Amino acid sequence: MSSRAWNKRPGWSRAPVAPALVALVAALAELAACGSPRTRPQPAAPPPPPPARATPASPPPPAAPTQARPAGAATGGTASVPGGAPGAGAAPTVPVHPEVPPAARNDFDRAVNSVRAGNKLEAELGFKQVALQYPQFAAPLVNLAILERKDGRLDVAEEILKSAVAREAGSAVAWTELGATQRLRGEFKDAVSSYEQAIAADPRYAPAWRNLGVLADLYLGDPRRALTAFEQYRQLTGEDKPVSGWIAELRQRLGLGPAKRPGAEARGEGKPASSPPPPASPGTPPAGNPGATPRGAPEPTPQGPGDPQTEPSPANATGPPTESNAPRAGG
Amino acid sequence: MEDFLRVARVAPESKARVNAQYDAATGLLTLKQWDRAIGVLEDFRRQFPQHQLQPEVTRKLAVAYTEANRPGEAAAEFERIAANPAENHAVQREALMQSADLYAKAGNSARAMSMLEKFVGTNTTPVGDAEEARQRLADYAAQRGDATGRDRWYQEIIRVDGEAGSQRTERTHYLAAKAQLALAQPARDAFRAVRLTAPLKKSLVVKRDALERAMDGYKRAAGYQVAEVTTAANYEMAELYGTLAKDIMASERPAKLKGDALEEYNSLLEEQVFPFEEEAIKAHELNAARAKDGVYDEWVRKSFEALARLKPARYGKTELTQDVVTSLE
Repeated sequence: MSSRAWNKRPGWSRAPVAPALVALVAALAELAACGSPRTRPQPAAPPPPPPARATPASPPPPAAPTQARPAGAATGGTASVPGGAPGAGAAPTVPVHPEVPPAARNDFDRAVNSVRAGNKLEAELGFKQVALQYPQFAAPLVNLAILERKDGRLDVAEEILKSAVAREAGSAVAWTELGATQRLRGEFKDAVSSYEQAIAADPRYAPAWRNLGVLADLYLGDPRRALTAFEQYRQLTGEDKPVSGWIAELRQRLGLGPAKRPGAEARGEGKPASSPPPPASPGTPPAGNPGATPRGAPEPTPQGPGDPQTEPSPANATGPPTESNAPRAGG
Repeated sequence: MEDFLRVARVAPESKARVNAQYDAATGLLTLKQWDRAIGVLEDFRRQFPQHQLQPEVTRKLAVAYTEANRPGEAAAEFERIAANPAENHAVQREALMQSADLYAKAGNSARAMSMLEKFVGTNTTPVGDAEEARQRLADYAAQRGDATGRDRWYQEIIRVDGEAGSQRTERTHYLAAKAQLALAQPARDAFRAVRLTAPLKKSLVVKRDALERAMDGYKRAAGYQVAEVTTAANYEMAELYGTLAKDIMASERPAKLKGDALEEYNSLLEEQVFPFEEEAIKAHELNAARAKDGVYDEWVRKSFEALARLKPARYGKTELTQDVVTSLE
């Protein structure tokens, strides 16, 4: 159905309409009476919610806001997420990514190319091999999980992604993909937890904020949290459409005034990193300009099959290495 | 055992032969030599048709055929047990169900249905078991493309559940809700099939009646307050409204309307379908609101998909996921 604005247009009059239409209107009105309170069957109110569904054990509670990594803070090769990821120490740390042997990179790249060439079987074998040979990395498992998810095997994808975050708890990408998979399965509370872990691992990983916003708004009925998340996403990416529209819609629904349009500076458009981002945690308003090159601020691509609520982002959504995701020496 | 069998061979006319053959069969069953036992028991049946041990032979054959993975023949033996008036009711009842299962396993759905029909005819209680049997009968009818038979069983399921009183269980309630949902489908299809032709006033009356029948069916189904049935019914009701709106907009235009008059007619139609679109959105939103209570079934998902199309500013928000991660670190 196209625009409905026509009936508000000035000068509209039914006078020229053939008299036959009067009868039509009466007939339509009669039809509409099917929906009158007396006769129209109303959609049933939802029955009381069923007992809480047992869900797998939640991941550890979200970490405290990630501390900006002190300059020169050398760490070992194992990843950690402050406050709860397996093997995390007591002191706040930033995610650390394992060193990449050149052979591992080559094997991984070959498997990625197989995906791009549409050779799924070869890609699967390649990722499995890299996952076995280099158990310190989450990415091969994440890609295996994505292949499973594309085939509709969400349960298998979720299990693989849980293994991925167990390997590399500092991988915001892995946590975010886990959250998205859990959302597809209707495991909304687990999805929140995974997005929170992603944000704790890397507050500048924008898709985690966006996905948290979608989850909070559509599936958890928490528009305030959604607004905060989308604002954070916009601040990180500088993206206007479609997220500005979503923010405007949420503000209107919440009875808030129109948002002040963030300036280019506030959005960090094209600005190089001048300082690490301030601490950010999901559910709290952004604390100002992150001031760093945003990671993973891809333009949405056409919707993937199977679930119109999910858009695959461009292939290299991890973006260029930044202070927090650059390979670390040592280990 | 071989001694028993030898008796049967060397002294076929002796009185001892009867007991020897029966004991041999029993021994072969104990040794799990099913095919040999079946041979001896079938021979016993032929040789001594009036013998008092025949009911026992039938029981043993039922076991032997089942164990030998010969479900069709086993089903026939259980059918004999069920038909024996000397057997007590509990045994007959169990044998009927076993027979139905085994005929089903053997791919003989006609005989399976016959056994199930006997079961529901002679075992009206417990209500739960009888309702399960009716459900199976409805499924068989559906598989055979017998819509009338299927709907007759659905009606029975609903009637019995409604009259079950204290014997009503969550399961019978669920089966009745699903049956009611299934019964609404033909009315929905009939509604969809009504074409809106000129003169619209006349065809709208037919469409309206079809709408009311379909809505009534889904409203009844939702009234059972069974989560997955309610979400399905809500989705279908939303789609009925949406279909009505689409069909009105696509309706045949009066041939005499041209130019401005036709344009205004189209505008008028657009105005008239607006409330139906709103009703569709409301019904889908009822489903979508259930997500936060943990209900996220096929119908809730489909309602979200519909809302993303109908109200994109509110529901068209999309997540970002990776197509492939290209960086190992």
